[in-house]
Amino acid sequence: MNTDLLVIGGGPAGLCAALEASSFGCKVVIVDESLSLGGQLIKQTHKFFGSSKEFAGTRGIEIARLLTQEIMNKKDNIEVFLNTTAVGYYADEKTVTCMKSEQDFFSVNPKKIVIATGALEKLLPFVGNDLPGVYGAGAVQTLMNVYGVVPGKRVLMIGAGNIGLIVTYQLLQAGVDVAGIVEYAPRIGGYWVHAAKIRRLGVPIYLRHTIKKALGSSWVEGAIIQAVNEKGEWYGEEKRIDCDVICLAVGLSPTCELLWQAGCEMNYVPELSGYVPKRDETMRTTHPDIWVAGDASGIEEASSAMIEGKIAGLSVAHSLGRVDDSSFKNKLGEYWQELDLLRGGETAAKIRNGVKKVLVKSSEDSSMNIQYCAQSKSQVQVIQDQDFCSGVLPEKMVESITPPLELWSRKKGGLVVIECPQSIPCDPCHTSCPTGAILPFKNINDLPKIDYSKCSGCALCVASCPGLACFVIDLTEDEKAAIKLPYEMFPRPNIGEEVECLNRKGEVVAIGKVIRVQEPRKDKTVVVHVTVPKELAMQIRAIRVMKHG
Amino acid sequence: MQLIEHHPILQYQHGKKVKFIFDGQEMEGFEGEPIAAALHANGVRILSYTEKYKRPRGFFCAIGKCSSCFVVVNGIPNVRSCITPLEEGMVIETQRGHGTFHKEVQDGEH
Ligand SMILES: Cc1cc2nc3c(=O)[nH]c(=O)nc-3n(C[C@H](O)[C@H](O)[C@H](O)COP(=O)(O)OP(=O)(O)OC[C@H]3O[C@@H](n4cnc5c(N)ncnc54)[C@H](O)[C@@H]3O)c2cc1C
Ligand code: SF4
Ligand code: SF4
Ligand code: FES
Repeated sequence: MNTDLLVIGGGPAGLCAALEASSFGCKVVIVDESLSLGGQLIKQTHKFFGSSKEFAGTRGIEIARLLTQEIMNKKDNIEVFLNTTAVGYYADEKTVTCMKSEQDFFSVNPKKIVIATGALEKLLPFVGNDLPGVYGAGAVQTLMNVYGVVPGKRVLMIGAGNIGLIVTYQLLQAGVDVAGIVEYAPRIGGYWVHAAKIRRLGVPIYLRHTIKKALGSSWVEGAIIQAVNEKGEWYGEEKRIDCDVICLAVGLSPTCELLWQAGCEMNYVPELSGYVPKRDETMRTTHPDIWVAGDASGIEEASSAMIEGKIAGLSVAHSLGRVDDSSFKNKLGEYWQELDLLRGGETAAKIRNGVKKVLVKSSEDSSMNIQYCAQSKSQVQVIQDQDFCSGVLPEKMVESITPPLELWSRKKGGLVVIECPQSIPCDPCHTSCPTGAILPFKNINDLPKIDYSKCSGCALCVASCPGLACFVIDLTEDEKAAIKLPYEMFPRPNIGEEVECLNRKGEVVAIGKVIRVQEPRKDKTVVVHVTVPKELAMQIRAIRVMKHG
Repeated sequence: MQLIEHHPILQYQHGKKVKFIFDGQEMEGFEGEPIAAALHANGVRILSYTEKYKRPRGFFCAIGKCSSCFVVVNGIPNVRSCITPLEEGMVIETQRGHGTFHKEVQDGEH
């Protein structure tokens, strides 16, 4: 089979590369070893961060659907092979061999190749880590979010990075109990708002702990965890946790076998989580016919994977003479600006450093207006508080998020309270606010700033924030406060129903009454209005429906 | 089958229900979904035993990358059950060791 471009891997990076190249008339073949297009996205039920331009506030599954639809609309130019693994690259013949459903071989002779093979879950050494029931976080997600299979009864999560935090939340949504999250570091590694979401539902995070042993002989029946000190030595009592699944979310490493095979120059870059190929600003590797994009070029995010895919697709089209020099330069400059915005914040410092190590500039052409990995100014505050480090807003910080009382106490409909203390690349709170109360972001990594005088209490931000960090609180009644809070669990409460009210640590502190349930964005995030004792208005941050029936 | 019945966000669209055999026992699953998912829904967690120490193995990555999920399908060993779609009437077996080809598979059209 001949084609202009072969894209290996149909995740967000590969799909964007294919779409971009085909928009310039290139013939594209996509192979993906899984059973549907979309890569990691098909299991992401949460709303994505990033800029509203790049699908922020949209659920991963929805992004996968939109991209797949676009690919299907380009049937004339893009051919897709699913359940097909690219297994080998033969340099002399410039041939890629592929295997369909573990038995049929065929070969592709492409002019150019984009490798967008994504990433693989890392393993952790502990006794019994090979037992059935020790699953990668991605596997647990696939099982429950793609195929609707219950992964287990009680899960112990290892790792409090974004994946561990998000998958924990998704397990709760699927009705699975989570025993806790074990994290080696003294603070969570993922976004603070993701941790806050699960803390307020009562899941403990064991900081400075690690797993020693999986219990069970045929499959997992429990785990032994223990604290570690600053030097990494065990200390304190061992703790037994009952669970039937141990879910590993200790990082991903780039899938790079084909890049090695093809002889691309590879470097080990810890910031990018493993071996990654050297590449220029067009994502071309040291092999003139091979480009790389997405997690295969370094573990990052879907938002950046999509832009990298577009860059690779654009550059392939340029190398085949389908794009003229000046539009190529303009578009490349635009895409780099978007990448720089995403990578500008505090949480992306690692990525910036990593990319610098493997980026080789292909041209010193000054007409190309590309800023490589620029850092934006964002306040970096390192807060040492124990609670804060595991996603709970400490008492002493509550004042900093409290609206001005004289306005608040008489404002019918309430005022917004935002608990988003870490600079992350995200802005849907601002873009969803119809009154301009949440001020424009100069940089996508800014913390939200509020002009309370403009807030109408409409709660659109509550429904839109992917971090579930916005609340509206109305203090105008005498004894009760009304809180409008985001809710994404099953079952939905009924109006008039009594529900448990949970504080930021998931402790039940009151019984509240549901007065209204809205779904402003028709995207399954509901806003529940609940009345609670007034003095608890700045403590209650979640509700739990008591057993129906 | 152990399936998620209610989900606040997702609506599952399962394929056609089909029957298959696992180690001599009849089970039900959905056509086109990975064998490993179907087995897990039927309570099967052990997919193979290792060659030397006979340790039980289940799946790990579920995206075809780690080879922890090998089973024997219609006589063919070392099939990655996490990315191989289930078909009506498949005969699936626990894999023991590195797996051997049955004579009829070698001579047949595969
Ligand atoms: C729990 C979780 C939460 C996340 N949350 C966010 C978020 O909020 N925002 C965000 O921006 N990002 C998020 N991400 C990250 C994002 O999903 C990934 O960065 C992104 O999917 C990477 O895209 P990709 O195209 O590089 O790789 P993938 O999506 O991994 O796709 C790679 C594809 O290549 C295929 N493949 C691999 N090898 C071969 C081969 N040899 N032959 C054929 N096909 C092959 C695979 O089957 C797969 O479909 C999250 C990730 C996880 C796991
Ligand atoms: S409640 Fe409405 S007006 Fe107030 S900040 Fe949120 S979106 Fe804006
Ligand atoms: S409050 Fe704004 S910046 Fe913070 S997570 Fe929500 S939408 Fe993003
Ligand atoms: S579970 Fe990893 S290859 Fe199937």
